[in-house]
Amino acid sequence: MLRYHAINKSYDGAKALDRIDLDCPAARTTVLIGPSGCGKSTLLRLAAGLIRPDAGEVRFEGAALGPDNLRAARLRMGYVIQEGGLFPHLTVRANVTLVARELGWPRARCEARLLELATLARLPVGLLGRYPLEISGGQRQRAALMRALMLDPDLLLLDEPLGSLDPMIRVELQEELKTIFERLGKTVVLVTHDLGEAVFFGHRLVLLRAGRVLQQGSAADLLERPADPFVSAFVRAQRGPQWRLEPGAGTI
Amino acid sequence: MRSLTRRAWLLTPLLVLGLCATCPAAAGTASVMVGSKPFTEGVILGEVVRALIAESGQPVMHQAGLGGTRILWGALLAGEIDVYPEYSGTLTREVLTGQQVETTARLGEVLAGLGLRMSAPLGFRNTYAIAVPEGLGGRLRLRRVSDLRDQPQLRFGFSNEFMDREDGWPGLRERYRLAQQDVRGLDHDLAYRGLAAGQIDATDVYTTDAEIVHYGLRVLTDDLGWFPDYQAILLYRADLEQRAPKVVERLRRLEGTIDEPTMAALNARVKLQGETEQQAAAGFLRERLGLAARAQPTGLWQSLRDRTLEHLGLVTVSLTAAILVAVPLGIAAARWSRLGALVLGLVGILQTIPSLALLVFLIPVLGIGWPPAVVALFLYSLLPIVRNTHAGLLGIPLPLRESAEVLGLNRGAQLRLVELPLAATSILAGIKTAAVINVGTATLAALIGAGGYGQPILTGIRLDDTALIMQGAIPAALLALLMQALFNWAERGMVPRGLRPRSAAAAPPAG
Repeated sequence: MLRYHAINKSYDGAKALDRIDLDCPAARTTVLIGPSGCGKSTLLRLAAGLIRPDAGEVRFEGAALGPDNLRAARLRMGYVIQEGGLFPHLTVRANVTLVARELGWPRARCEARLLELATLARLPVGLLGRYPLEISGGQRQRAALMRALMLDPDLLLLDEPLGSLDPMIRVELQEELKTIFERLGKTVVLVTHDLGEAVFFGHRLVLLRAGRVLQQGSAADLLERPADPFVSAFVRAQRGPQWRLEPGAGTI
Repeated sequence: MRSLTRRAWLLTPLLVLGLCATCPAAAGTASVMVGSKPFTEGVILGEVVRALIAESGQPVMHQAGLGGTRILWGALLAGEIDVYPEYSGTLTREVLTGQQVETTARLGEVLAGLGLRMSAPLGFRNTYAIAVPEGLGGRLRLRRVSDLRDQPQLRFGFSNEFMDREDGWPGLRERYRLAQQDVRGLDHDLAYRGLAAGQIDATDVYTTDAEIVHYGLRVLTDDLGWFPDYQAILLYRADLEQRAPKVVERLRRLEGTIDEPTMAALNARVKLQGETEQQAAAGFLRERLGLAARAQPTGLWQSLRDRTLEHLGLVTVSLTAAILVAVPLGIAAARWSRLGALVLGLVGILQTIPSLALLVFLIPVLGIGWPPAVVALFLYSLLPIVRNTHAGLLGIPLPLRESAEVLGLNRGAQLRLVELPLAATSILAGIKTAAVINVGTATLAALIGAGGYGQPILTGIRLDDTALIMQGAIPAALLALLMQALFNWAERGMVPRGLRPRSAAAAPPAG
């Protein structure tokens, strides 16, 4: 579905990505994880075509992304960022249906799809006429997800979609998102710095550091068979607070 | 989005209305156009010429009080006006410098080469002279300009023009070897009041100034003959002789009919007795030439209506054109940063050109009156709109711009559906600034005969008539407020609820 091939990317001489080869298989959730500055968001922005690689190519369904096929590819991708990226001057309804209307969908079709998505994302229909600033952060992320799903895309790109939510809402939304992903069978690429969230969502986890892939595999692989001391350190650093209270803390 | 376009469409008929209100060309097809300089004597003479021509049944219009010698000269050469009162000294010393015009015959030749003619002298000289208060003059026994040499403590206050002109203060000082140190430039009318209040001791006057008698001034003899011969004449286009030979005949009837006391008396009628130039001119024609001329007074409301239509026309046309050009320029500037720096730099430079200078630059190309005024106002309106469009677009948070891109909207749709609405507040603020500047600057259009509220203001300044100044200043201020209100109303429609700060406070509790 989405494949990175020999990608190099530098910003002002500093290497952000260093010869990355990565495959995000169809109907699976791939989670990119790592400390800040590791290049995980850069990978997502490459997939969305917001930046171009210095070398190598990003292939979407077998074809390298370039200026001529980018727009068509984007119509088959859904993209959600940390703050949702909803347009403040448009209502939730207008935000979600914006592109569909631009593509000339009939009003009835737009409305039917909108209601379907509201049910899926559990956003009260009464909020559809509100502006983004008039609803809560959790509701905004639901609306952003609806907008990403409007055209029934093949690929979902999520950049820390829950990062700005408070923990209770975050957990609730995590559960719902996972259910939605499983029900729709979409290819998902999700960026997070939270190991718990990665383990919860990911069929495959990709751990990056300083622009290189340190390890990729299942959650169990990472937790039980770390390929590198950094992987162990990363895992250890993200253990929950309750673990610190247990006897024998400090060893794995 | 829909309400945005709806309000925009509602604005359109208003703008069209403004356009229709203007079209000054429709004001009549005058075949003879008279011009005059922006001081009382000039306007009176222009009025005399106009009334004299009108009395013969010939259609004629008078562009009274145009911005100065340069503007009138340019307008005459360009055929925008056909005739205006001038002074021979101004032609030889100021306009035709570098052409070695020593004799009247030579002057006629040079003018003929330019397609112009000049009448014989009208009968009076209006030359520069130096005047001091009678009391001071008596005390210090000042009679001739040379007498000033012995009084270096005297304070001089000269009109700004006199300070700069070669035949003014710089030449005078050299010729008479004057050593006064306290010399300042000020407005000619203010200089009289300065003399009366004892703040200055001497000033430059025109020999036909009504104020010489009024303020009790002593005019010093130009004993070394420095000041040139400023004979009043009529300057007209040579082609007038073919187009309207009767008009030329009429103009010639004025030759030798106005001597200095007559001119000073006419000036006094307007400046000191509160008559209009039309009344003074009509009086002269009745009394001296036996013509049945009569001034037709225009009512306050009539003239207010005319001035308002002219002003509205200037503002709406120039502002509409500026919006249509500046918004796309701002968009381009935001899109391509190199081009942006160039565009912002250029419109910034435009803003620094003094308005009168800009008008003078435009006259050779566009003539006088409406076109150069609209173009100047258009140029001055560009900067605030370009800059605010540019800043508004660049101020959109990157995640929002990227979201629009990743959604798969094409470049045009990104701009139309996302970026312009998000920048609307800033763009409208720029348009509001431009509108207010425009309404204010449009008062200067009167300098080049484009009318508007500047007309009563300029005349009021010239006649020192505060009520007349207010007739222009108050409506101009009201118009600026009205424009502001109009755009505020438009803004409510164009800026969606989601962007107005109030709605953030109205957000429900998180959930």
